[in-house]
Amino acid sequence: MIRMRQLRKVYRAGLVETEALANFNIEVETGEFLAIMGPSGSGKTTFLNVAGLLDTFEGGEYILDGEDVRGLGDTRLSAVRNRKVGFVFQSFNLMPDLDVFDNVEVPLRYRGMPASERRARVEHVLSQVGLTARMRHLPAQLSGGQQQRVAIARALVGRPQLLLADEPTGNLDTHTARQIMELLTDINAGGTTIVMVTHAPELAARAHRKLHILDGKAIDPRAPEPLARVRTRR
Amino acid sequence: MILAFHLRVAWRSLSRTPWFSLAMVGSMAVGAAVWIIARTTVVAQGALSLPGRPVFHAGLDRVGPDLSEGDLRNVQAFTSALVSWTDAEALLARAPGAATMTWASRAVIAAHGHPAAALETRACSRAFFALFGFRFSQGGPWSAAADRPGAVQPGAPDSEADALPPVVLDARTAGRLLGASAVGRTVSVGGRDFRVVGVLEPYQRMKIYDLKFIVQTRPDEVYLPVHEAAGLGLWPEIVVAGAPHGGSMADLMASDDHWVHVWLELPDAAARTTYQRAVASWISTLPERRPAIATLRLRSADHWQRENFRTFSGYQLFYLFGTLLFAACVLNLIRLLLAKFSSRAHLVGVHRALGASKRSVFLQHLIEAELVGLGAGVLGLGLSLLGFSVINQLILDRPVVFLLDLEGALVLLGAATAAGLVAGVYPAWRTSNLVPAVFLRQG
Repeated sequence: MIRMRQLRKVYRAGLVETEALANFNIEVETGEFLAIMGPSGSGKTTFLNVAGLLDTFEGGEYILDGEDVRGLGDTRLSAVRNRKVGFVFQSFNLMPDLDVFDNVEVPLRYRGMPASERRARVEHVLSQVGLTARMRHLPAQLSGGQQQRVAIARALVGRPQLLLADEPTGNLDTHTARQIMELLTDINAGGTTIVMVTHAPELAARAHRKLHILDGKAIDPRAPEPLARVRTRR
Repeated sequence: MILAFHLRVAWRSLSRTPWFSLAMVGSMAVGAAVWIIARTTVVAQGALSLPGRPVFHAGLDRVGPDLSEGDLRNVQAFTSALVSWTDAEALLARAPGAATMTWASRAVIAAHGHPAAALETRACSRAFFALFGFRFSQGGPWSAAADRPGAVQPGAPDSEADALPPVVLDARTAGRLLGASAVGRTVSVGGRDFRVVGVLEPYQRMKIYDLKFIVQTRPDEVYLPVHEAAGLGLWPEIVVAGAPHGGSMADLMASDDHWVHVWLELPDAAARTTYQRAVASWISTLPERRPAIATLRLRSADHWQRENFRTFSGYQLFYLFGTLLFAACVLNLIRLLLAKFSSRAHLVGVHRALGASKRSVFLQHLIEAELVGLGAGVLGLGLSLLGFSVINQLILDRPVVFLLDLEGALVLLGAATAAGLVAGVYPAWRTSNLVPAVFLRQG
């Protein structure tokens, strides 16, 4: 599903360059549930942004679902993002003035889907996350767990092959976090590839595979390269 | 479909910060209202008084050994403008195209259910309305046949209504006397029944077809064919007396008194030359008169206006100020939109993550700016109405009552929406071009 080779991502602030991802290599199989771990500032979110086509990269290769995304125009990138990728954020990122239904419907609007089909899809996905009764509630009227369910529903409504979750349980209590993890596990069981950034080892343990990012490099515990040989860049 | 969605998102974005949105709309509305008021004052001044029509005023310069220098100056002042009935007929007879004579008078008008009142009346030909750019809200001008003497013979035509001579009313008079539908109705003018054939829209140009003090003190309310007006004995507001006569309308028409304006259309230089030659030839055949007619004096509408309607340069300054203020409001709106779009950049990042392209984001923000412009246009209409009433009270020496007519309202709405568009382009472009990941980091 994801293949990055020698990928390089640099942030520039004036004359200062910071290499957020350096010679970054990763492969994520279709249907896999991958947990990404690492200290703050190691490049986890940058990786998710690049993987989700929300950010550009300077060098290397990125193949998403068999398509080389280098050099794609914005319209194509947006369409790929809309059809193939779903995002779940730590802070939910719901539109505060749209109700649950409208929030979930947004990706389908950008896809230009007819209203009747949109309605059926939204109702189906809301029933999947157990929020049919809250369809006309505003985000502010929901608990944190419910808001994250809405965010997951919104990510799933377009039936993406890849779900990118950036600390999806970071703002939730333990009980709710467990429920969200169960939901993500179920979604993965349905065939959706999930890449989840988390700080919590017990949540990462529920993934098929764990991968560490340190100083902009992916450190796969299964890989032969020892952690000690990774050059510190920052 | 996606446009409706953008519109909805834009509307909600504006509704989320009502006071800020009101400040944006309000500041633009003030700029737009001041601009349209200033523009109206300049347009009414007359640079645009007769767009596209080569209209000329025809007068006759006179000389005579029996006039003192002072008398000559006084007479010249009016004779350069006014001619006698017989001279007017001669000048019109040689006109190659559209032409009219006209004078101002007062007549007693009555309609069913309304008390009779003396109203400002203008005698003119059918061509008068086209020459001076009048527009009709109902009906139209009378027929060319009605301009001929004795065109209407009571009892002769098919119906009673057709037997009546025609009259045109201004919108306010028509509304007051006859309500919303005036055409075809009957009014009494000077004791005789007339059939209303047309109702004019408010005239928002300088009325240059008469002397300045006439048009500034009396708004024309009723328009009659010249022969009908003469038949009713509608005495002109101003008469430069020549030799003594009996004092009846028939005597006036036969006399050498000057009281009629002549206007005609001369499309090009060749037509002017031909007309001048024809009039010169006519002058050469005239018997000797005191004072004698020397030459034809043709003045273009612009020339006539410059000569007789000296305008206050303050209007131009006001227009400049209004334009600069409007431009400043547009710049201010750009600044406010940049601030607003930046403050909700995080949500833009979310939209981008969900599949919105740069073009979608650009369009969505442009629509938001456009809503501000449209709102400013609507609010500006209300503010300008208020502004016009203030300015009409402040400026007493004005060529017309400044009004927001339909054209002005459309110009205001168009300018405000265009300004919203212009102001929105840069902030929308800037917002759409930031990297989504940068937006999301702000969340």
